[in-house]
Amino acid sequence: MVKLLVVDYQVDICDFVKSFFKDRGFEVFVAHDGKEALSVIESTGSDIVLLDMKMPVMDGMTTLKAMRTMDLDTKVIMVTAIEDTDLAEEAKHHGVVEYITKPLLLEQLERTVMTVAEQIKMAG
Amino acid sequence: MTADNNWLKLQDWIVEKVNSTNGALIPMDSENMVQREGPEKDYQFFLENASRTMIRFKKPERLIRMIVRIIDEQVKVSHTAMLVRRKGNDYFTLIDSKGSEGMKIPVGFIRLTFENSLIRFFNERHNFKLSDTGAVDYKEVLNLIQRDETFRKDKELSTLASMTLKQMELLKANFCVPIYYKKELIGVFVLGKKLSNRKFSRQEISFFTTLANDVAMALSNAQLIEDLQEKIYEVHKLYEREHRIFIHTAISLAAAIDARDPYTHGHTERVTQYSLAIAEELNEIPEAEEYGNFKETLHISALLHDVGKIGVPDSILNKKSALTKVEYEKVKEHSNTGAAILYPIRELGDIAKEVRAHHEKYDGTGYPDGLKGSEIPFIARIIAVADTYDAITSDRPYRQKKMSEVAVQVVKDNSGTQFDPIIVSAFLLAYRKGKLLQGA
Ligand SMILES: [Fe+2]
Repeated sequence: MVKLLVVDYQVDICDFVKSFFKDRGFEVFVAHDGKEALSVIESTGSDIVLLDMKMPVMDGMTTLKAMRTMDLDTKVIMVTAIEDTDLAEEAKHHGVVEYITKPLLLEQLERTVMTVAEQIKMAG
Repeated sequence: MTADNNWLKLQDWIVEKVNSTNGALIPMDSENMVQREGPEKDYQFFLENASRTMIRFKKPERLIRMIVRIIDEQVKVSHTAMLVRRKGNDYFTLIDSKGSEGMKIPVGFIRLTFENSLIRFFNERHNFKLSDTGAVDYKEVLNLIQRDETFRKDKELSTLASMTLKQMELLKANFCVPIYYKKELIGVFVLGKKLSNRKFSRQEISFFTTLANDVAMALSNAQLIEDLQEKIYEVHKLYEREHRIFIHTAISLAAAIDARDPYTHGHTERVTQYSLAIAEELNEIPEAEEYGNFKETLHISALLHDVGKIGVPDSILNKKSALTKVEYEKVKEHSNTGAAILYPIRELGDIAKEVRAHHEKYDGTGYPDGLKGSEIPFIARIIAVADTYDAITSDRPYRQKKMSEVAVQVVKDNSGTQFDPIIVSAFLLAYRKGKLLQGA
């Protein structure tokens, strides 16, 4: 089962996305800030991370950079309310698969995650 | 500016509903009855309060939140949400959502564009081919797709319907109620499944569609007021640059308001003319000196004094027979509504005071505040005289045209009770000079 980690400060978003991808055959974990996310990634070895940008304790970009130093092949999809091309560029530079802005198209989120999951299954 | 977009209708609806259901507003099956002290009272109270608050603060979203909460509490469903298209957006997003963990769709998280099949289905009104209320039940549509031959033959419709069902699955929706304003889709009620696993009853469905209409009304009215305020604000900005153009624009705005009331056609224009003529005879009076720019403030106040009539239904404004008490109460709200429209525009705050008080009476028996004598703003006292004079001299539906002498007599007779005696004497001076004839 593909392991998906949902990182968002908003609890209801985590709940909703968790239930949404559980229904689609994923093993889903949640974290509410970057620091918590890093420890979950370490302990569970998440395949895909949905990462929010604005979070307390540790924001999305810092988390992303930290993940890159950890030498993981975790795929990261940014899901953020911040519409900023510079930030999107920087995220892409750090190997983010997709930069999705909230409010998002649910099909787009679904399609992106499914595609990445397919690639992981094929590789793995 | 028709009766359609009248928020007062919402209050009508509530009053009517309350009366017709003896206070039990929600058509509930017994399984959904909430075991609580007087839930129907709560509901009535909340909704009435919400609609008032909404009117006062132009916040239809409060009403929506209230409605979503009530549905969530009283008609037990897994989740309830409201999709709305905000002004300037080309997509729909959730403005409120309630429900159990995981079921609730977070507010502002998703968006649905016009390409979304659910939106297309409702926007292009294909849903009306399936149900007369326009509401869509997931299971019913699924049945049609799977079992109904004629339905399946309509390839385009059945394809769109199945794509719509996919969208409903994404939203975990079992039931959707579209919200239209003038045939344009402005929102969708999204409902999960009933916790009892039963179908929604016909009563519940009609209740949801009624609520959808109210939301449409609330949203469009808020929009109307906002647009009007924007317009007035623009007009005022213009004033700072070009004074003459400002007055002209205010006149056309006033004319637009006037045009709704066929029986008092030209009323605003005449009241403005008479008010200015009366003011001519009030030169150097201390009350006038207290205004930064007396003539100016009077002119604009007179032009906008009935702006609140935008909130009175056409059915009342156009009524040929005498008004009922309830209808008259509605008409009376226009001075308050007018002030509410003008208050938020800081530069027009003083005008708002005058507009609010233009139906006050000198002896304190007027409305809305029952102000007395010098408590009534001076300009409002002038407009009151001009307003009454015009009401009598022009051909109103509920009154035969009277001679201007009769009108003058009425004004005189009410000096000191309804009107400020000083203004009445200025009025008489102006009248004798022939300045108070129509078009003088
Ligand atoms: Fe009036």
